Amino acid sequence: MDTSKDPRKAESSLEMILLTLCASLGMKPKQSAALLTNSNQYLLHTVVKGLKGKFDPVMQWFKMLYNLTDDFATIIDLEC
Amino acid sequence: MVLNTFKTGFFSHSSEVVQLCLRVMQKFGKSLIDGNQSKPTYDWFANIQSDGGITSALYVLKKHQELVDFVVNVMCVFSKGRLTYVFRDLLKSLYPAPLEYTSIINDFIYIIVKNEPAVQEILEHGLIDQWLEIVVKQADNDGKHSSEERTAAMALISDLWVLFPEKLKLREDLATQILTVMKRCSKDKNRPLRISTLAQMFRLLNIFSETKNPQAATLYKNISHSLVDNHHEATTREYIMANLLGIYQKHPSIPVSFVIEPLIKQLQMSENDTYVYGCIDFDFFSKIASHPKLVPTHALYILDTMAKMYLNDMVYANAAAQPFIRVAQRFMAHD
Repeated sequence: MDTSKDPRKAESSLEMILLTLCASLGMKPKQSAALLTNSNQYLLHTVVKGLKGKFDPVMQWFKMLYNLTDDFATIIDLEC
Repeated sequence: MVLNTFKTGFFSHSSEVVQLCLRVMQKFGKSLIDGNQSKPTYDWFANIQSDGGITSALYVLKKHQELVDFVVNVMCVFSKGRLTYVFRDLLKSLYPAPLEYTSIINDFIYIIVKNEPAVQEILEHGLIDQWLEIVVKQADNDGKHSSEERTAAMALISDLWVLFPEKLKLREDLATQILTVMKRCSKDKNRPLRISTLAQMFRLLNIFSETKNPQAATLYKNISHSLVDNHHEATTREYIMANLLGIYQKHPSIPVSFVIEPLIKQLQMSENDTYVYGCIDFDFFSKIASHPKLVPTHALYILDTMAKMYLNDMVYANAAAQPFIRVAQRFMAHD
């Protein structure tokens, strides 16, 4: 997966989530995907306690999601 | 899956992250609910299991009470078209204890009223009527509810009346029922319930006097009855008198005769028996002596009572002289 790809151009909601996680948390695609395993257990841990205790990357992620809500809604429509 | 990923933010230790997450959810929820995903989105939200949308959103309040506005707005977005069910039934199943449910609705209602479409929806679906009917029963002494539950119910009734006065103008039966329950609670044996009910009654009287609400007269009469009924309880009597003086100062057009006549009669009947007077009584009558609405007949009642106290009570003779002199000076020229 190309992490420099614009999340708006993602082909699925999962890809869109992974691209936003890579961009805001500075992770590789495999690491981002690992966060979503076990019903988002590791992502939850990161969001609750921060990334290495820092909340700035997490806030960055939510700010990115805020700008992409319409795109997420569109892609979910296409997936259903 | 996307909603479950986003909702992780609700559980963050950082208040800023939670707030951002709530903003995301509000915007995203609106897009989904107004789009083609209305049903699955609502189903995700209305799941009351521990991992459901509403349960997760309400979890925020346990750690970040200051974000209640955002939580309620998210709830309004996801519950669009089903607000009555969510706020009445779902919340009730999540907060089954009457005290908890009443308190949370009381917190939420001030935020809901700022959301015009939500207000429109709950009014159309009769949720305000239903809430009022529930809390009036809870406030009344049916032996099923504790005084704390009744106090919380009384606070919610007053808030709903303040926020939706037009609703109670249309439902006179309900307004009458509320006033009856308030009157009953204002003489309840439990002092915190009694005082908090009186506080709500004065709050409503103040607002009703300003807005010329026709229920102000009944409310004022009930307060006057409550003063007589509670004459034996010095703390409550003092509380009512102090608040009445505040009301008279703010609204000089309110007539004092409703209060003076029954109070003086009660004082004469049970002086030093059940009515053990004190400084507040003399202060009250002194201030009433200067009230523009005091009529000569009632001024005479005060003169008569104060004169008797002056002559018979060495302890309060000086205190009784004050209202006596004030009334006498004011009505000296009167026949």
